[in-house]
Amino acid sequence: MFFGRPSGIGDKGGHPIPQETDDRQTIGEERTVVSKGMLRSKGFVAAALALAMIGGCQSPPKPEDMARTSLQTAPADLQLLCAHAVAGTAQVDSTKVLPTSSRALDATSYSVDLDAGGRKFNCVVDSAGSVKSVTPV
Amino acid sequence: MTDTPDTKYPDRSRPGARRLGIGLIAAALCLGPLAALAQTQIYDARTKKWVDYDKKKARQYFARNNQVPEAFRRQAVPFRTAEKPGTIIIDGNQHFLYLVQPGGQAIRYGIGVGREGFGWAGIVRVGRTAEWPTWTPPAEMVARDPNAAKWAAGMPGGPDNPLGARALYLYEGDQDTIYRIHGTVEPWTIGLDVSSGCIRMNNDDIVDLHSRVEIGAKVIVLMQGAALYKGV
Repeated sequence: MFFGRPSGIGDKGGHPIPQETDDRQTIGEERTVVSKGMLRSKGFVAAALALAMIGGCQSPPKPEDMARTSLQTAPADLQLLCAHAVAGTAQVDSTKVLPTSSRALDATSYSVDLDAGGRKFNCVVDSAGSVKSVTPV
Repeated sequence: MTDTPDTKYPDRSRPGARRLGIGLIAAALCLGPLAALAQTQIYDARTKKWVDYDKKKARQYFARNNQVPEAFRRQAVPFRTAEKPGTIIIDGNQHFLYLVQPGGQAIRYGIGVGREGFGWAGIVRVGRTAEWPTWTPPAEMVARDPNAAKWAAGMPGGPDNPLGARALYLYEGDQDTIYRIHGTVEPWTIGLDVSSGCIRMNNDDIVDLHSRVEIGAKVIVLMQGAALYKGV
């Protein structure tokens, strides 16, 4: 059972390349004519700035998030959202459904294994709390 | 002092506890290598790196700050769930206990949980509670530890009692599971895998939780460690 698809994927195909991309290329070519030494120097500065910006973008976690475990399990509320979804799918009392393990699939989604009164299920949920699939195992 | 489930009564008088025991043995046999992979880490703002958080570092941190890292302190957090307010959810992997509140919120507390092989999972309830509870060491601890032996008949509640200021006794139906949520005399152990299956909290936190929960409250204990489920 699937519930929709991840948003923002495959929605923008077929759009023409913006003209401004070509403008930037022209400006870059003009600069190479001026001075290769200057370009090397400016290139170095630009690279350093880019690295600094990347470093700056890696902001530290919020104080309340400054602890974790090396086992990348799903957050508790996401595990329980899966349990609720499985209870509906399996038509069993929610008190009989318990997550038994979980793991991160990627940066934004988790896989949760569940026991529903002896029947095994797998659930995929994203970090926004949207249950993507519930499948019997 | 290591806390333990309160084993005042033999396991064979409680089928739930017996099943739990089987589960724990299985977990110890089957999950040791996998459970060993779990390691608490905290973010070091000075080095901007995640570092392992073990007993030694936890003691050092507590000695310096007189409190646990901020992530393990009591705080309100967003919590998306269909569970009713008043439900307790225990995430032993992340060392958090959540008390569900109205409006998509929960109060999150830091906890210490079962060490390797002592994790468990299940849906239980708060059967009873106690203020400054008595602690009765299990027979095997009495046999090996002279300090525990002198309390074989039960250690009265008080500031030196390993169960701390309050205890919530977890039941499966009408059966005592032998597991408790309780306070501690070792507050630096919050965030670590240290107990024999009980869930320990700082005394301030267990007093706060005790004041908010009702007898009969649902308690969901999520699986700790890797993928073996032997619930109560």
